Amino acid sequence: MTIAFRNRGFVAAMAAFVSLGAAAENCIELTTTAEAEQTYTNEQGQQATRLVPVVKALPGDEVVWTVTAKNLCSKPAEHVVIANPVPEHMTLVANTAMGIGTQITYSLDGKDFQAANALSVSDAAGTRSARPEEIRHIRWSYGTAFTPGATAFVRYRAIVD
Amino acid sequence: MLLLALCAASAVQAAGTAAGTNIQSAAQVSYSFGGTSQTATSNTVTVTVVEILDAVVTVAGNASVAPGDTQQELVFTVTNTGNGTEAFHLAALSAGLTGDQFDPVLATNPLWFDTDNSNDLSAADTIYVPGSNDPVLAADASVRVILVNDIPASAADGQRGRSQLTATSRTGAGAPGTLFAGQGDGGLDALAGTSGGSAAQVGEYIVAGLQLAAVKSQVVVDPFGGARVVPGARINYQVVVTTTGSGLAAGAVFSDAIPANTTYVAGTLRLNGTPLSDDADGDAGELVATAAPQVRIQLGDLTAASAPQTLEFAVTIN
Repeated sequence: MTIAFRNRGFVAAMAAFVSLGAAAENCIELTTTAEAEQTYTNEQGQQATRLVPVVKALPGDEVVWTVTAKNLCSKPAEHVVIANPVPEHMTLVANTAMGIGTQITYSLDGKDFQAANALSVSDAAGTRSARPEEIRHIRWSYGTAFTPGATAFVRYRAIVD
Repeated sequence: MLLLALCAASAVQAAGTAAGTNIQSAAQVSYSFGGTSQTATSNTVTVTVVEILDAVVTVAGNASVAPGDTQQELVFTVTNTGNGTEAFHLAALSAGLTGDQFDPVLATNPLWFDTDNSNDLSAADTIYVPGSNDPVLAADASVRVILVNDIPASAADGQRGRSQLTATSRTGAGAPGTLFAGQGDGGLDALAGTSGGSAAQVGEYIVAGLQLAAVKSQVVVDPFGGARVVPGARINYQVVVTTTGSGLAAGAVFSDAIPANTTYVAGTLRLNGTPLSDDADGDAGELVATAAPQVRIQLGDLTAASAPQTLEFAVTIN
C-alpha cells in the first residue's frame, strides 16, 4: 500500500514537472476496510447492529469487507470494475456480495467470471454447481460512469476458515 | 515427508485456521478515462487469526474389575481442538462423582502418559507430574493418558465406579468467549472456545463377578519335521478363554506378550477360526508392535453364557 501510494505521488509529480497534462494519473482512490457486525443496545434500549473495525478474528468469525471507490479527478471515470479476491483462509458467505448499480460476477480461478448460479465445477462425479468455498474472486462492474468526486462502495461477507 | 505435510495441512483444517495467520485483502479497480485504461490497487487490510482454546477428552471403553483389584486402568485421549499450540493441565477425580455406586480410589500416581502407545501401563510409560510435564499439544494433536485406580473390596457385583480425567488449557479456561489478552501463541489474544478451554470425561469401572480363565497350549514345528525347540522352529499358540460365575465382563481384551527371542509370524492372528489383520483397524485383533510386542484381541462383552473364545497366533524362534 505504502509503495503504491508513493508510486502514484511520483507519477503525479513527474506529470506535473514535464507538463504532460492528460498523462496517466490515478483518478480512482480505492480503500478496503474489514469490519465485524456487532450487536448493541441503542439509546431507545433496542437491540441493533453496527459495523466495527476488526483487526483480529477467530475461526468461524464473519468479516464484512467493504471496498470504497472515489473519483478524485475532474473528469468522469468510465467502465469502472472493482475486483477482489476472497482472502486466503476465508470462505465467501453466499449471496452477500452487493454493490449499488453494479453487475456482480464470480470466478473460481480469477480468469473466467460468471454469475453465481452459472458457475460450475467438473470433477470425477460430473458437473455440479460451485460451492461457496470454491468461489475465490468477485468482480463488480458499474454500468454508469463515476462523475468527478463521486463515491461508491461494494461489500461482501466472508468467514474465517 | 509428503505424508507428514499432508497430515499437518488436514490437522489445521480440522481445528480452523492456525493462530497467528494473517488474512490479507486488497482490491483492484480498473476504469477508463477518455479512452485510456487505468488500474489502481487499494490499501492492504490485515486481519490476524487469534488463538482459540479448546479440548476434547475421550475414553476407550469401560474396565471390567473385581472387588479389591489394584492398579486398574482407564485409557483416555486428550485432543487439542483449538487452533494453536497449547499446554494442558491434567487432573484426576474419583471421589464424589454422580451416577455410580462406589468410588474407585486413585492410585498414588494416578496419571501416566501411554508413552509406548500400548494402551496399557508399562515400564516405558511416564508419570504425569502437574506443572512439570504438562502435555504440549499442537493444533489437533492428541496424547493418550492412563488413569489408575484401586477398586475397594466392598464394591459389589454389577456396581459401577466412575473416575474422571479433566484437561484444562494452561493459558486459561472460562465461559466460551472469555478473553485472555496477549496470552495466546506469539503474544496474540486467546479466547476460550466452545469447551471453555477445559474438557472432562468420565470412565467407568464395572465390577463383574465373572471370572475369565485362559488356557494356553502350544505346538512346536521345527524346520526338520520334528518338534524340537531350535532356531527357526515355529510355535503355534492356542489360547482358550472361558467364563465362569455371573455378571458381565464389559469390553474384555485379551493380550499376550510375544515371548523373548521369538518373532511374531505376520498374519497368524485368529479369533474362533477367523483370521484377523495385524493392523489396528476395523477388526478385533492387532499386533502391538512396540519394543515389547504383544497381540491384542477385543473379545467384547462376555457373560457366563458366552461360548469359549479360541485365539491363535504363531511365532518363530530367533
